[in-house]
Amino acid sequence: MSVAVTLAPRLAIERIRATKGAGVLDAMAVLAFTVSSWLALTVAGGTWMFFQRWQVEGALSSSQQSGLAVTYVALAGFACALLVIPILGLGGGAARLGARGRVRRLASLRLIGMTSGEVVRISVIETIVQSVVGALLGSAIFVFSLPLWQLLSFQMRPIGIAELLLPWWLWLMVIGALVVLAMASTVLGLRRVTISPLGVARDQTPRRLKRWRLLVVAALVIAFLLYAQFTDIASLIGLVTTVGFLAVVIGSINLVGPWLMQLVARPGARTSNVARLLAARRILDDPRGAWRNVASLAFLGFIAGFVVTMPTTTGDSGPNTFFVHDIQTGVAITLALGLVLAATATLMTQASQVFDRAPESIALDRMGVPATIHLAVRRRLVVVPLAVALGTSVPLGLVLSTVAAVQLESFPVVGVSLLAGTVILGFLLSLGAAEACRPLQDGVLRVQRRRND
Amino acid sequence: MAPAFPPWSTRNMITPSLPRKTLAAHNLSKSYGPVRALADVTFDIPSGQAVAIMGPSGSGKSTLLHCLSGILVPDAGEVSLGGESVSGLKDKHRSLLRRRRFGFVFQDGQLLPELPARENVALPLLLTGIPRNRALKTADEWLGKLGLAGMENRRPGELSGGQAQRIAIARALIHEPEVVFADEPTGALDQATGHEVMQILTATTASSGASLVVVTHDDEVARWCQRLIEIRDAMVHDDQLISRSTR
Repeated sequence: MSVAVTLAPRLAIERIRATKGAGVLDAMAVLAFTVSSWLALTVAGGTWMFFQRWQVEGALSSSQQSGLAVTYVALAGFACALLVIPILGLGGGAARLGARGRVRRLASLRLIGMTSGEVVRISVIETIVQSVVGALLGSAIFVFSLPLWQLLSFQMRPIGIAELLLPWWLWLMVIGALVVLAMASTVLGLRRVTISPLGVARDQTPRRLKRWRLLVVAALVIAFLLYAQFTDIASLIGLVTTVGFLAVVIGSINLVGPWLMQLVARPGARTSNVARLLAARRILDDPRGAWRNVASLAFLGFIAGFVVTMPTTTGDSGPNTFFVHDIQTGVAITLALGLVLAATATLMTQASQVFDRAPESIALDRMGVPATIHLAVRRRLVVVPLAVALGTSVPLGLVLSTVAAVQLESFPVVGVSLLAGTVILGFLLSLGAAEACRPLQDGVLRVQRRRND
Repeated sequence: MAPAFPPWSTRNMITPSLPRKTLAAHNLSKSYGPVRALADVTFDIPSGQAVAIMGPSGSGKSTLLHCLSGILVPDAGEVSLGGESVSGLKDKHRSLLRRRRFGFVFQDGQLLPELPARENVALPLLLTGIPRNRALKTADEWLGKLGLAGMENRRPGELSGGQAQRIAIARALIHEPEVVFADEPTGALDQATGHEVMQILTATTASSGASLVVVTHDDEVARWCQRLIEIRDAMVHDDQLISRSTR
C-alpha cells in the first residue's frame, strides 16, 4: 500500500480530532459537499419527476397538461443548468478550502522527503473522503426532506415522494460528477501552488483591470436588445439563437463584475477608517476572487430581475393558469435553492479566510487592535461585493426581460416579491454567514499557542 | 520636565504631559497545564532602557514578554507600568494599552500583505482616529528616517526581509510608545541584516525615549541592549548590565 493511502486518512482523522484550525475547515468542506450533493440530488430529482410524467402515458390528467409535459422537462432542465454552475462551484470551492494551511502542511511533508506526486495523492484522497462523506450526508438529507416537497404541486398534481427518488444509476452519476469535480479542483489548485508558491498569498501590487471589460458588456447588451427586436422569437431557430445570445450576455457579467468590484472598492482605499480600508484593500487585492464569491448571487439577481415582468395571471378561467402558477413556483424554488448555495459558499469562503489570515489577525490582536475590527472587515467584504453583484445583475435582468415584451395588466406582485425576497434574503443569509464565522475568529485569537519559548 | 509631544501624538490622548514610566514585573507566575512557564519572576525596566531576555527553548522568555505586554495575564503576580497595574486591567483596556502605549515587532514582521508600506506603518495612528493624510505624512517621515524613502507604496511581498522588518519597526514606533516589545526580531534574517535591524531598532527606540524589551536566543542580538535578563527553568537565572565594551 502506498504511503499516500496509509498516511492521508491518519492525518485527516488527527486533524478532525484536534477540532481546531484545519479540523474546522475539514468539517466545513464536508458541510459544503453535503449541501451541494443535497441540492444537486433535489434538482435532479425534480427533473426526473417531470421526465417520468412526460414519459408515462396517463400520468397527467388532461390532454393540455400532456401537451405541455415536454415543456416542463425543458424548463426543469433549464433550472438544472442555472444551478449546476453554483453547485459545482461550491464543490470545487470546498476542495480548495484552506489552501494556505493545506499548502503549509503539504510543504512539511515535502521537506521530510515525500515526492510531489505523493503529496498530490494525499490531497486527492482527503478530498475524496470529504466529498464521499458529504455525498452520503447530502443523500440522507435529500431523502429526509422529500416529504416536504409533497406540500407543493406541479401540473395540478401534488409532488409524490416516489416521483423524486432517483434510480440508483442517476444517483451515482450525480454524486460521481461532484466527486470527480472536487478531485479535479484539488489537483488544479495544488498545481497552481506548485507553479507559483506566492500564488496563494498575493503580497504584490495587483494589476488594475481595464475599462474594456465594461465596453464589451455594454456592446453585448445593446447588440442583444437590437437582435431580439428583429428576431422572430416564435420560430424555433429564433428562440434557440435568442436564448444562446442571452446566455452569452449573462456570462459576460463575469467579465465586468471584477472591474466593478475594483471601481467600487477604490474610494475605500483612501479612507481613515481601518475596517473600511482593510476591506477595500482586500477587494482591490483580488477583485476576481471577490466577484467569484458573489457570482452565484449575481446570477440569482439576474433571474429575479428577469422574471419580474412574468405574467401573474392568464385570467381566472384561462386554460394555462396552472402553467403560469407552476412557472412561478419553479422560479421561487430555483431562487431558494440558489440562495442556500450562495450562503454556504459565503460561509465557506469567510471561514477559510479566518484561518488563512490567522497569523496577521493574531499579530493585530497583540498590537491591541480590537477584535470587532475583524468582524467589521468581514461584514464589508460580504456586503460590498454583494451590493455590486445585485446592483449590476438585477437591472441587467430587468433590461433584458423587455425582450419578452409582456403586456402587464396589473402590478407584477409575484415578480416584485420574488425580486425583493431574493435581494433581502441574499443580504441576510450572506451577513449571517459572515456572522457565523465570529466564533472561529474568536477561537483563532483565543488560542495562545505556547511557542518554543 | 515632561517631553513635548507633537499635537497628533497618541500620548497626548492617554497620558498628557506624563513622563515615560518604569515597567515592572512582580512575582510573576504562569503555567500551561502542568508545564510551568514562569515562576516568581521579578524585575523592573526603567524608562528608556533596552533589555534583552534570553534563555534556552522552553525557558519561558516568550511567555514573559506576553505577560509584560498584557497579551497574557499571569496566574499570579503583577505587571505594572509607572505603578499602574497592567495585568489587573480588563481585556479591553489591555488592548487599548497595547494599541496606544506599547509597540510590537514580530519575528517575521507580520505586516498586512494587502497594504502598501506607508499604510502598514500608519495603521496604529489610523486606529486611534488620526486623519489619514496626517497619519500617512508621519508614516512617510518614519520611512524616510529608516532609509526606506521611495518605497512608500511597495507592498510587503515586494520588500526584502530586512526592509520589511524596518517597516515593522516604523509601525511599532510611529505612535511614540513607552515600551517596544520585540519577539525574535532578527529570527528570520541573515546575520548581517539582523545586525542592521538591531542597530536601527535600538537607535530609534533610544532616540524616541522608549524602553525596549527584546526576546532572543542570539548573543549577538542581546549585545545591542544595555541589560541582559536570562531566564532558565521559568525563573530569572541572571540579570546583568551589558558593558559598553562588550557591546
